Amino acid sequence: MGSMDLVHICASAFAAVFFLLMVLAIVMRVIIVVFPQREAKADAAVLAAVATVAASVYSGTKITKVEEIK
Amino acid sequence: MEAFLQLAQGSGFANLSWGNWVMFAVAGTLIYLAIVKKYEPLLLIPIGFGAILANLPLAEMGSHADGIIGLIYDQGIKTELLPPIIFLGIGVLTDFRPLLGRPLTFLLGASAQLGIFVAALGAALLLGFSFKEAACIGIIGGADGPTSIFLTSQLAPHLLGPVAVAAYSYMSLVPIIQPPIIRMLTSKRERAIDMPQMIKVSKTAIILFPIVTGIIASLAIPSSAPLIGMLMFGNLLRECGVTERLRKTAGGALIDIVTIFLGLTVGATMDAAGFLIPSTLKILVLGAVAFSFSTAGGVIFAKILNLFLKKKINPCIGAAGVSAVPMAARVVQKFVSDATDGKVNPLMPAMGPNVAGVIGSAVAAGVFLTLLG
Repeated sequence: MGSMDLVHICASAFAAVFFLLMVLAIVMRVIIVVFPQREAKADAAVLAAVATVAASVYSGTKITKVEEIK
Repeated sequence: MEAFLQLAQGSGFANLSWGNWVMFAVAGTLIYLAIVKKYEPLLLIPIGFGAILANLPLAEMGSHADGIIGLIYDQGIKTELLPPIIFLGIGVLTDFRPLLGRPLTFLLGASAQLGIFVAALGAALLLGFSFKEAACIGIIGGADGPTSIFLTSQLAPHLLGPVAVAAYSYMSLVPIIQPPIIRMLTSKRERAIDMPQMIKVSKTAIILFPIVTGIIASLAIPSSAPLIGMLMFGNLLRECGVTERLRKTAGGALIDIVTIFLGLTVGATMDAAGFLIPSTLKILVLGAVAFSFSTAGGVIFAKILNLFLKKKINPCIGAAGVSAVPMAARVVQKFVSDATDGKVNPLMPAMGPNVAGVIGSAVAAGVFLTLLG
């Protein structure tokens, strides 16, 4: 093998690494879009408790969503 | 008296050469660095002691001798058994969420393999190494010890000692090697780029990742399958949530046992006759070149990406694309944090390219095996 062969080997190898990781990035992006993380639903008991307290303070208030921020 | 003299002449003391003493000093340095400086102690202690064992005349404790170490070498390194098992443990211990949350950082892990190919070219074209030897020297730039050992044991087993020592030494020198290169290649404004939160990744995607990656990478580069396949199997054990016992064993006792065998046998390849040659010095120099170019490759590619991105990425995280998990990511975080008075701390963004680098260097080794093996 000549020196040009090694240049070709190295260039091809670098391109192969790059291409493969790019493919993996695209595939994983697709998978993440297809299987998105679902919003965690609030616990029914928590929702009821919050709704009861809110209704007692502000009568007529209806609680539709409780979000926990950590 | 005659029997005593005969015993003395047949002892190791009488057969010690100056080369053995030099190797004791080398081994002592490795052990010193491991204990006092805490440089990769889990590897440098077994490697250092293995080097001592290999240089005890008549003890038959070298990797190429007929003793117990030779047995482990023949059955564990020559057969490609031990490095993939290390990868199994690495898979268990690695959290790929930072990578999946920013898939773009896959590309930084690829670009940070640049040093592998630059050093390989330099080794062959400038320093006269054969192509196979050059590939093994270049892989030091991947900053991945097991990958270096895996490739070198296949393509140039006579260089296993120097290559492994260079790989693990430079991995431990990440905090010294990388910051000046990052500083040279980035502006103050670039270092202050605060990256947005990564996208949330579902449990399904996290479980699918090792399966999909294992299949795609192994089909594309079959020679990389022993490393990538085991890495991804280990990660599946970690993420599936139903194999707790296997996860604990693979990420604990198993990887520890294999690390002992691997370190000891690699160290025991460092007998004076094989290590004290001009090539060793060249390999150490080329290792530094490989590492530096890999660091630069990641940073420069991140800057190129920024030309096309609306939401810019902090180019410093490209440097973490060399494997050396998690040290390279921590070095980037500390560098950026120091440069911005603690306002920007890109640890998680840097972990993305960092773990991508593990995949990248294993794939690079597989490509070399395919083309040169």
